[in-house]
Amino acid sequence: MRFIKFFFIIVALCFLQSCSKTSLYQSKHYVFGTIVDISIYGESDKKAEEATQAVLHEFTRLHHSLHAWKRSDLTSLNEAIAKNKPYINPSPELTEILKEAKILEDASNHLFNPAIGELIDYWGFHQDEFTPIHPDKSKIKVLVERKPSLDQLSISGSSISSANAHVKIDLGGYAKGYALDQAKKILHERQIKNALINIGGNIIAIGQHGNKPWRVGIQDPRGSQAIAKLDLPDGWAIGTSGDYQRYFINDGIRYCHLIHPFTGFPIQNVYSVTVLIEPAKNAGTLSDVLSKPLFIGKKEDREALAKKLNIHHYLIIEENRISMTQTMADKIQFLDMHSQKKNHLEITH
Amino acid sequence: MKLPIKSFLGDSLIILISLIFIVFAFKTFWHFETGSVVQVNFQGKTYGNFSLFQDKKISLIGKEGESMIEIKAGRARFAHAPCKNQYCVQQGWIHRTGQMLICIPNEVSIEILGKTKAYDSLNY
Amino acid sequence: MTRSIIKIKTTLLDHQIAKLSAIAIGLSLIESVLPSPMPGVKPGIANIITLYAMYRFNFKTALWVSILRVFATSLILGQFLSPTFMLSLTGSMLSLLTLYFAIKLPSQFFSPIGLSVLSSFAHIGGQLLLVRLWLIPHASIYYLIPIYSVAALLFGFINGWITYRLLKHHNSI
Repeated sequence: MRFIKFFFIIVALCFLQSCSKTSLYQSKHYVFGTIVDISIYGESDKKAEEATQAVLHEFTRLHHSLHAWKRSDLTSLNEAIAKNKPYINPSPELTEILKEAKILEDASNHLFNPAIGELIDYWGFHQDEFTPIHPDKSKIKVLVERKPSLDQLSISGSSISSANAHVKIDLGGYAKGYALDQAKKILHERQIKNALINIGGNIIAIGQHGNKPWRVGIQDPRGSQAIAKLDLPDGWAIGTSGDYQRYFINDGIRYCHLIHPFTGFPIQNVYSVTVLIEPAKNAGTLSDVLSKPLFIGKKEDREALAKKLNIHHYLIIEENRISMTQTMADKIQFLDMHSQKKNHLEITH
Repeated sequence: MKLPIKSFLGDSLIILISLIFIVFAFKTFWHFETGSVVQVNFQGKTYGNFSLFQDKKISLIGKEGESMIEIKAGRARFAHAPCKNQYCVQQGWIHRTGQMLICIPNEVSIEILGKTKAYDSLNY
Repeated sequence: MTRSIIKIKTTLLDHQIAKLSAIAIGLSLIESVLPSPMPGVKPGIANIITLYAMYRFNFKTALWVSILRVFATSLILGQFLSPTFMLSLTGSMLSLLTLYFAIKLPSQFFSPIGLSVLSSFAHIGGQLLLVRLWLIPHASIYYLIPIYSVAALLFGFINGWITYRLLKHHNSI
């Protein structure tokens, strides 16, 4: 009667499959000026929904506190700096963020520089919808020569002031990642063991999806689908900087939102840089921040930079060329044979 | 090997199991690359699922204005968007499972659904 | 000059094996020229003979018939030791192994039809396994499993039914 047994196993498998489908709670929301996609596995719908709401509530709070051009704590700070006045009684959170961002700026040889808000503003990226501009070289030169840096901030418990009035802080490359770490904390407090949070492409994994790890796709920078997929184990985070996320095209030239702090011009010819971050207290933040220096830095400096910043897994897509570390190559699975053939694949160490 | 009583009970069982196995195999191994349904998300909620094989135009009035989604011959696209950048319109048609177009200003996104998705979420 | 004559003693069973093998080889050759919708989807009509040999005589006969057919067919078609031959051999051996156990099932419930279906599945299962492990390890052949399964059920059933009719005709069942 082992056939009957076999039959029952098949029925049981079908049943299990349908069970696992129902315990995934997935929702999409528009907060943070982008799409937030939250998946929670293995909890009742009610518990999952409450947790999702709590996370969204936190994201909205951060949006109002860290927004770079809509009225927020950060814009108040920037106004104070511009007027050469100290900003009194900053929130402990903002103080912490700025301290941490400063450390990362220094570690990245100032390639990640959240103080260049004036430049970003000049290029028109401080708007929900940006208009193509014709860059004025002399104007950009002036903005670069003002040399804004978080190093010029003096941060104390009760006030923040800047030695350089042209420091305009933009946490665009930090806030989403920070929000991921906050979301992780909230879900942990609510005893959610398995979740996947995606804020505008930056993803952190908590636990796993049933008996498999969470699986994420990596966007093809020149297409509308995923180019590859990989498993994101518990605590890992992934982030991408791409020239396709925010950009405008003028006279056939693509100007993306990732601007070199030293030249003042957007980076050309790099499509995307993806970093995979191992579990850490600030894994989300790192996944957001660390793709920037690799995107902005010179090709020949990348390996040294990655080593300095402790980035073990990265993937860089350029025209006709995909380069990645061996550790990344071990984890990634390309979905499209065509894109693999078309591109020169390079493994770095 | 002559036997007076003969029944095909065992054979029927084998055939039944084979049939179940075949159905199972189709379900497990055949996830069509080409999706069959497009899911439209509007203002944080699923607005609806629409068959890709039924030509249709869906007009959504959001914060910025009208977004027009067009479904034609197994594909879907943004035919019109109220935003300046027009990223979603420029990306053209999508038809494969997991492909997605997003119009952030007007809070509309469309995603091609299939039987199984290659991944849980997309890093972009 | 002396004439040397080599004489081999043959038993009645040997003659039966030779006869059955000849038919099986013939069927295999006919099948090899028939068009196939996709590689590997074949009716496998020679299995009728294997199954027939198993019921009419014994497992050993079926084994001989099967091996002789696989080797002879591949030699005739010039495929000896080629991947096609390996596939054929693997499939046949696995289906024979399945039959070895399946024949022990109570025969009042299980007819050649059921056994033929089982052996068809074993046949294609073995071949797919060989393809995956040896011939093209990187290719994802999972997509093919449903198609091959349908073919296995269909042809397994038809072959089984023909075998059943043949055996009934010869009063062997």
